[in-house]
Amino acid sequence: MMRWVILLGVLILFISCPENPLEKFPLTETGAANLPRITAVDPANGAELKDDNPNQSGIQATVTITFSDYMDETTLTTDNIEILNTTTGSKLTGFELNYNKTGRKLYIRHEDWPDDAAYLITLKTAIKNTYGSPLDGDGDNIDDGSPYDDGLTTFYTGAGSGDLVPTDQPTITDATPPQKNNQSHLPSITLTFSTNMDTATLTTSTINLLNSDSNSVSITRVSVTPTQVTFQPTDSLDNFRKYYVVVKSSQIKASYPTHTPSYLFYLDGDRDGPEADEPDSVWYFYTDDTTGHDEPPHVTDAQKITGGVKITLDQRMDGSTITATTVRVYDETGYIPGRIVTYNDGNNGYIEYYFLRGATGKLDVFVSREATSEDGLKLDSNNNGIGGEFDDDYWKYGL
Amino acid sequence: MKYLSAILFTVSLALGYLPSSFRNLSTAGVFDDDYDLMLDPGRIPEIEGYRLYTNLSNLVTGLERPFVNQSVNYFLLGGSGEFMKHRYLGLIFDNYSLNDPLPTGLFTREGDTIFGDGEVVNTQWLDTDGDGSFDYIINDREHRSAWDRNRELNFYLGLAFGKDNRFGFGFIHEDDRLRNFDPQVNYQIEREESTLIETRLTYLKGDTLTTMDETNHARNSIIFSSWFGRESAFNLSLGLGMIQSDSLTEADGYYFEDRNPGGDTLDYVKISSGDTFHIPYSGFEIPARIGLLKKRTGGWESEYYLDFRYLSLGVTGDGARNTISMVDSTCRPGTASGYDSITTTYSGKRSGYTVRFSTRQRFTLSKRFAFGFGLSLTNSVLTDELFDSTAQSGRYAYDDGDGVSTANDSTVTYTEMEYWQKKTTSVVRSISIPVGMEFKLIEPVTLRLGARHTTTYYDVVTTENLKGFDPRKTRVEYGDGSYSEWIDDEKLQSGTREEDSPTTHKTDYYYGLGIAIGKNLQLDLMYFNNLVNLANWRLSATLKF
Repeated sequence: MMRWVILLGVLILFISCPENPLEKFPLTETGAANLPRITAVDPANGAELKDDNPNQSGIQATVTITFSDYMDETTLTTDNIEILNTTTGSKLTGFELNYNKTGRKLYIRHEDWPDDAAYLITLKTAIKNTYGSPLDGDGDNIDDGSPYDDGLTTFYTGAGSGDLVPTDQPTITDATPPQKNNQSHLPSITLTFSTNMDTATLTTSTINLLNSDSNSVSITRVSVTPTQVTFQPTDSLDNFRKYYVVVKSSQIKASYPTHTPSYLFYLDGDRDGPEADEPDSVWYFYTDDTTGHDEPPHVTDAQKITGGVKITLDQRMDGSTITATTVRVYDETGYIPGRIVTYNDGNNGYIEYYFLRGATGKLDVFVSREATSEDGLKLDSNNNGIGGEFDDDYWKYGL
Repeated sequence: MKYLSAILFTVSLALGYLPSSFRNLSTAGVFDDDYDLMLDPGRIPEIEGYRLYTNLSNLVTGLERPFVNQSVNYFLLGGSGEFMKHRYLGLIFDNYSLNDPLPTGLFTREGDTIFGDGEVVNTQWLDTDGDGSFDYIINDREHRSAWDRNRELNFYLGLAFGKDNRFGFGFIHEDDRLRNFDPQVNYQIEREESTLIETRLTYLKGDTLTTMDETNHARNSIIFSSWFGRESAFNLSLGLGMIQSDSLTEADGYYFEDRNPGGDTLDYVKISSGDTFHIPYSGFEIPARIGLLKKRTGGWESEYYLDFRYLSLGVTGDGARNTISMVDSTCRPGTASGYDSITTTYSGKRSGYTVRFSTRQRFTLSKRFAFGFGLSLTNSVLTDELFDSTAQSGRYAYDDGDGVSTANDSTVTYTEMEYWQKKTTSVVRSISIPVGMEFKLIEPVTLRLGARHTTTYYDVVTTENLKGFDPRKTRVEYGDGSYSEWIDDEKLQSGTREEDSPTTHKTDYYYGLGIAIGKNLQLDLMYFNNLVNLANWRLSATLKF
């Protein structure tokens, strides 16, 4: 009875406080919701897991996974963490999980890891941080969903290294011809891959050549190895024409071990990790102009002149494309309306821009990628020999 | 400032016209005249004959100075009298309207200030290339508005009947609206530049801001007052007042620069802004009084009163402040656009009560001399509590204009919130001792003197507490589909408390003259300390029938 009286007294005291101390600084909403990533694993991906208790039979060891964020401990369960013995193909059970909140470390311990085996640990996207954001397994800051954003790491015991499975998709490490002009009329279209590929998927049905009208151009596979494939057009390509190489990533597969997660087999076309709809990998090139008119214009100089600015280009320019929209000059105030004079001399084009108001401070000069030479080629500012690309605008700041 | 708030609160309950007569003011509230009786509907029957109040009565503010024609331009009409046998009427009506042009901050070519709505246009002709002829022209136009607009309408209507036992019913209406247009926030500024070489505009700038400040107060009150007896009278009064108070600010702004007006190339910045602030209070007050009046032998008259007044005002549902600023601009390269928004919602209540015990003792010692004193004990408690919840958010988008969506294109959004409670509790206790006398200098001139000593004890506690907050959370979404979020570290002052308990002592002195000119005119004078300078004299004239 006395205990109830005391409890009641404490409760009354608490309720009658003029300001409930528990009401201080309530955070009424959650904080930032960046996707959490795996920042470190021990043993490192593909390394050996060492026995930490040699005095006891079997392999006793702990795998440590460090996260970039504070994790929701309730999601770190055996339902969301899977250990696959990739030597046998069976799932491992009987492991223990512990989470260090402060260190953001997850400890996966087993008292009897099977020896001479390789393992794949899968951390599913159901694992979330304290703000409810799911795991970003491929670290691209995009929520790709499950299983594409599952966190993966591998290790082995004893002599099991041969059964390790990859944790990344295959990628294209090199490709020819490059995205430039002046390419051969009968170019070798070669793709080099980061790993051994299923050569049955490296065919003309998965790798196409299209012309500038998006029509397919016939090509022939001239050679293929597990890491490289080469095609060549069946007929000579047109003179000075734009061609596209289209690689259908979602249909090209690597030659990976059996127990590799199935979604990792497919080519990573945009090199941002696995995703549900892997986009095609596309690039383009221009064939050589045998008449010698394939060099796009470049701005070679921009300097102040009395009452304006003079811009020099290395090609004769089409004056109709040099307008107040394609050539602009700014000062501290902003745009300076100008009177534009365009002329060509020798192999060069010139633009004189006379200000219609007084200019103050440093000048910024802009020439649009839409400025076109007499040969019909657009401005090339990234110097890849192809003009008019999205990054071909010319800017000169602080003149 | 908090004392001022407490005082303003008290004053806000005052009438829209002078709350007491010149006679009452001149004698520190010890002696009343007919005007004071009229404002208590139960005592209208005690007024003998008829009274007519006009603008000469100076009963709106008491501050009008007719000898220098210094007036606040009220129209006033009122009076009292018996309209049927033992049926009485008392009425005061005043109306005021002001439309006052103020200095705009602009000047004429001669250097004279421009009032009200003003506009100045300046033109510059430039020879930028020094060839001896003008080739550039700049026009600047500036317009500003500066006004005070004030309107007041007040009236009091009292109806009473009875003789020995008197019953009165009064109705009071007060309405005060004030609008202010400050030239610093009411302007239109434009700049236009043109080249004369190609006869075209090269630059346009516009900056417009319109801001209106408005304050409204309205009160409608009824009061019932009854008096029982003549020589020994008992008073019972009860009233109800409905109060509305409203502060409103509305501001709209638009700024733009077009650096290539009419041209194909776009280079501009546009900024729109809006700010609306609105705190409406509404509520009620209940005044009540119990009084006792005793006329004793030997010219001794005693009065005892116990007053109680309860007030409750609350912020109605639409108390809010909304501020938004939107920007749309070209960059080099690309474009940017976005907004910042701040929304504050208010809720809260002002409530309190005042209890006052007062007495007046008057002695008519001879036909030429009367003396009186009083005592007033007041206890007032007011609580003013305001909650404001302020949410801030914004969104900015940048597109580098290259036609493809990459990590160089981004959209930034942010949110944050704070929730505050501000509470002021004021307890004001005062003791006031007035003394007053009237001395008939010569027939019909009466000299009035009064003094009042007041000791006031304040006990004011002001607290501000942060009840909750969300820190600023910023999210950047990039054109390639990736994103990043972060929260800012917070260092907040989460609460303050201030207690002040000052005591003030104040003695005020009053004086005045009453002149009865025949049976039909009563003149009352105050502030005539400088007899040869009539400028400060305040005069009230009442017609009697």
